[in-house]
Order: sequence, then C-alpha cells, then structure tokens
Amino acid sequence: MMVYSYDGSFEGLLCSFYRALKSDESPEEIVSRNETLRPLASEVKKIRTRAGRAEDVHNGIKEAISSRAARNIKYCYLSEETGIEIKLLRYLELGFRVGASLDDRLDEDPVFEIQQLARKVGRERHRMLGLVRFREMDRGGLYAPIEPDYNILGLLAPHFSSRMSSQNWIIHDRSRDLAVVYDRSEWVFTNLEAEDLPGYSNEEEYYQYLWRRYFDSASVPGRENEELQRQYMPRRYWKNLIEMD
Amino acid sequence: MTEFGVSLNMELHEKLEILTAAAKYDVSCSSSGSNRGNDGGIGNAARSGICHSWTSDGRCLSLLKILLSNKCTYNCSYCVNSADNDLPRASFTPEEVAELTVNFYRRNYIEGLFLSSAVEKSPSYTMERLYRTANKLREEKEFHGYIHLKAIPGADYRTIRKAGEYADRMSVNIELPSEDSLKKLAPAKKKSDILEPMQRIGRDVEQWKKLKEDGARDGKFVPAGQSTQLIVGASPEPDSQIINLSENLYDKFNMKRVYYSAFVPVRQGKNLPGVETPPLLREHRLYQADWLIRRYNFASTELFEGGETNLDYRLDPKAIWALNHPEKFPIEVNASTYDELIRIPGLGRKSASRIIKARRGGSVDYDFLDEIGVVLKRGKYFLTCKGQYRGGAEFKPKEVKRKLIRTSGKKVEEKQLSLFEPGQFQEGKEETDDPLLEAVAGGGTNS
Repeated sequence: MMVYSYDGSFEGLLCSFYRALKSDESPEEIVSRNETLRPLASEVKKIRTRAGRAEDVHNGIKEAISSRAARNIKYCYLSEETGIEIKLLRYLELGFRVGASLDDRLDEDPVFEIQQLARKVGRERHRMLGLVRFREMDRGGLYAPIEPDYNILGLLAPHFSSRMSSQNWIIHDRSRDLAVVYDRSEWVFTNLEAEDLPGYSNEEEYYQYLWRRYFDSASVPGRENEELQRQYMPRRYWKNLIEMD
Repeated sequence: MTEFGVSLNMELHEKLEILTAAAKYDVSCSSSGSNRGNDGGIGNAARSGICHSWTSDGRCLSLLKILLSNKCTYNCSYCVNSADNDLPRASFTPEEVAELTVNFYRRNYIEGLFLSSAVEKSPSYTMERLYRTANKLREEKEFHGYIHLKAIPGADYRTIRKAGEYADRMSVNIELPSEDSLKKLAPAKKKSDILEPMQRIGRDVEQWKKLKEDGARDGKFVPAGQSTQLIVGASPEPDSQIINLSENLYDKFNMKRVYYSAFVPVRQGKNLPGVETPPLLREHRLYQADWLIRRYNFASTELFEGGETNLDYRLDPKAIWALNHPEKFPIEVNASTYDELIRIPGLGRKSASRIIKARRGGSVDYDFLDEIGVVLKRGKYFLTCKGQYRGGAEFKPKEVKRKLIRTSGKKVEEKQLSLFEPGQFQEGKEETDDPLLEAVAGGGTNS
C-alpha cells in the first residue's frame, strides 16, 4: 500500500494533494513526518514541499470548487486530527468532479464530516477572539497566552492586527510553543518559550483588579447558572482568563 | 494612564462597582451589526459581534455596561435607581469612562462600551455628558470600538444627534408599554419625550443609509440601528398589546431590536403589582413571539387568534399557532416551500435551507435528515417524509399538544435561565428556532 509522507506544513499537504491528483498512485494514507508510520506501509513516498506549487493548488481549489472548500480544507488541517489528510484528499477529489456544488453534497462522504470538523475549528477561533486576554508588559507591549484545542493562532492574527494596529502585541500558544508577534506593521510566526518574557507594567495589576470587580458586579443575583457559563466558556480555557483564574 | 494616583484608584473601583450594579438590569449587550475600521488609533467593530466572557448567570459579556451616573432626579417606581431609593450613588467623569474603556479594550476584555445614565440634574445635562464621553473616546483616544449610547428622553435633540454620529447603536427605553402605565409608574416621563427622539433617530438613520448608498463616504449615524426595552409584568398590558407595539416599532421606527425584561421587584413601590418572582417564562415566550415576527414572517395577529390576548405560556407560540391550524399539517418535507418549512414547530431556518438544498439531489428520507443534522424531536408531529408520519398513528392536534406540553415542561424550567444574547456567538452555533437564544436577564432599569 502506498503512503505519502509530508513535512507537516499546510503547503506540504497541498503538494501531497497535487501529487495524488496528478498521478495514479492513489495513496491510502498521507502522514506528517512527525508521526510514526504504520509498520504495514509497504511503499512510502516522501513529498517535497514547494511554495509555488502549494499556492497553485490553493488557487485551483478556489477557482474550480469554491473558497468555502478552500477554507474547510485549511480549517480541517489546523484541527491536527489524526488521519484527516486522506479524508481531505477524498473531499478534494469529489470537489474536482462536482465543482461548486461540493458543499451541498451532504450525502456523499466525507463532505458532512469535513464540514463539521471545519465548523468546530471555526467555532474555537470565534470563541478565542473574545477569550484572548492581553497583559500589558513593562515596555508597553501586550502579551496574551492561549492554549487552544486546535492550531488556530494564525486565524486569530489577522483579526488582532486590524483591531490593534497601533499596538505591539504577542499572542502565545503555550501548548505549541508557537507565537504570533505583531510590530505595528505586520505579524509573523515565531517559536517562543515562556521564559523569554518581560514582566508586567505598573498599571497592569490594577486593571486586572478592576476587570475582576466589574465581572463580579455584572452578574444578576437570583439567576445563577454556572453550568451554562461553563458550556460557553469551558473550564479548560479558564487558566488564561483574568476573571476566572 | 498615569493620571490615576493611588487615592483616585480607590475611588475608581468603588464607582465602577456601584455603576455596574446599577446598569446590569438593562438587558441588551449586543455588539453586532456595525462595521467600523481604523486608520490609526485603536479598535474596530466586528459585524458578527463577539462575546468576551460569560457571567455566572450564563449571560454573554461583550460590552463594558455602566451608568455614567446613578444620581437620579426621577422617582420611577419600578427602577432601582429611583431618587427616593436608599443606595450608594456615584458619577464617573467622561475622562474616567474613556480611560477605562480604552484600557479594557486593549486587553481584549470587551468589545466596546454601553453607556447609559440616570437623569442627573436634567435630561439635557445628562445627554451632554454622554455626548462628551463619546466625543472624548472617538476624538481624543482615537477609539474605534463599539459604542452603544442611551438617548435620554426629554433631552435636546441636537445633542442626541451629535452623539449619534459617534455611536454604533442608540436606544431610548420605552419601559412601559402604555401611556397610562407611564403616568402611574414614571410620572416624570412623557410618552412624547420617548417616542419623539425614537422617531427622529429612526429617520436620521434612514437618511444616513440613503446618503451612503448615494456614495457619501464621510460620517456615520448609528450604523447598528436603534433598540429599545420594555418591562414586562410591572403594568397590566396583555401580550397582544406588547407584541403589537413591537411590530409597529419594527415597521415604523426602523427599530433593530426590542428587548423584553421581566420585571424584577427591586424595591417596594406604590402602584406596583405584588409580584414575588420575575415572570421569566412570560419574558421567554415574548422573545419567541418577537422572533417569529422578525425572522419567520409571522404577523402579530396570527399569534393572537380567536380573541386571545395573552400567549399560551405552556408551549412556544409557533407550536400553538400550528396546533390551531390542523388544516395545514402535517407538511410533506419533499413537497413544501421554504416558507412552509419554517412554520413547522421545532424546525429552524437553517434546517429549512438544508432540506431545500438536499432535496435538489432527489427526495429525502428520515435517515438522511438525521445525517444532515436536522433534529425532529418536535417537528416529527407536524411533518411527513416520503409520506411517512412518525408522530404517532396520525396527526391529532389535541394529542400532540398534550405530548408537547408534557415534554416541554421540564425543558422550559431548565432553559429559562439559559439566557444569552443572539448574534454574539453564532458561528458554528447549533441552530435552533428557539429564540431563547435571545433571551436575557432582566428587571427594572434606568433611564
């Protein structure tokens, strides 16, 4: 059986799709080189990542299918779910057959499954747009630690770079040791470990205190419903939230 | 940020506590519907609205919702801030509010500011201070986040108009659904003082939209539209009168949203009914009725057929309507229009569109509906799929009603408190036709 191995990047995945669609190899699995291969794999093809080719594939998807399909693929990739790559290839093959109507074909595998997963990633992105908490650092820049389920850092960056365009800020995915750094003109990915950080500014503690007081005063007594609170704001997010910490 | 000395800090957090507690009975917290960019400065407004936290009562927290002052000169008997009520009083300065807003915003605690006020000194004085706060935020602090401002009834309209050029949303609260009740419970407020600014704001919003369509690029006027709030249960008006009022507000005043707030007996007052607990179920049913009018093409008269003046609180108004129209049900999902599908109880607009789309590939069966995520827990009584009916032997309205009431009793109880703002968190949110997703906590309120 044929297995593709790629470098784990989104570009690498798109190049794997390219190869699968252009050849008649029909791989049974596409795995990142960080993952251990199943011993059964009889033939492993190592896929080379080429930025230009990846871009062509991406544009091709948008043109021949839809930008929604392109987004679904990106979001599912960011879910980091094991085995998602080969399902994405099936989704894409179907897409190139049926074109723009791909996402209406809910009865054909794996369309609904892909949509559901992409939705979950989108949901976490949207939730995190609200739950990111910046701390002001002693040189005036802002720092926010997050630990999302999915690898959504790159999906948050555009939102904050337009909203906070006049500020220097860092959003740090602590579970992946990955950060986005914005310097008032553009944002870049970088590897970051927690030890590298400066301390908080003088006002920071005071504003955290005000926020907690505000948060506590805003609840309406007699209508407590902590179960519902946890449903919207699951406990796993609490440790990076000022008000729930 | 350095202008806060240590002693001032003490004061600020106390003020914040007092003026937050005084504002929390205003139920609106929506931050959606606007679109504001920046070119320097800080902030923008996201069209879809964003929740930043959830309070322990399960409500979405999106805006810094505070009063500029709770030093009220009025004596409205339903309101916690009434002048003769004994409670701590405070006023912020516009600078304090502006600094708080910007600093909370930079830290991504909030989506923006919702600023209201008790009537301090006079309506025009109060409106001027609200305006000055917005002016400071937009001009001095270059803040481009969301701002919701209250328009104070009785204030000079010119100030309201100027404030509207900075605000994303404005609201004038009607509070009491009839002139009679206003006279009894809020003697200082006149119906015309409330309706006039509402009408003028509605007109000015229309005018701005027209200018924009014609290509004008500068200036905005309340781009997210205006809203209002009605208190339910402090006065005797029946539901039909309330829903009819809302329908008129949507049609004639270009109203974006009407909020309903179950009366919370925050204090003992003359002319108030002897309620012990807020009528939450009634509030919930009114939100559902409102939702049907705004999103499901219902007319208010359809919800009050046969001389009824109040909703039947045992079931949602769509189910009641359907049970009153056995001639229309059950509906075959493979042979019905979108407008028919959305009138099936338990079926929402998203499910209806999914069905319509899926049908293009041939007729659908129950398994397929299940696969595409259409839930038929209640809908099954009102529809057939390929001629098959799964609501029992046949459609018998009386029996269906009994079954629905039996199963909904517990659900309503559980869900009553599950109140949050709609439009705040809709991406990926499982759809429902239940506007409970709308409901919010409530009570008597300021201004």
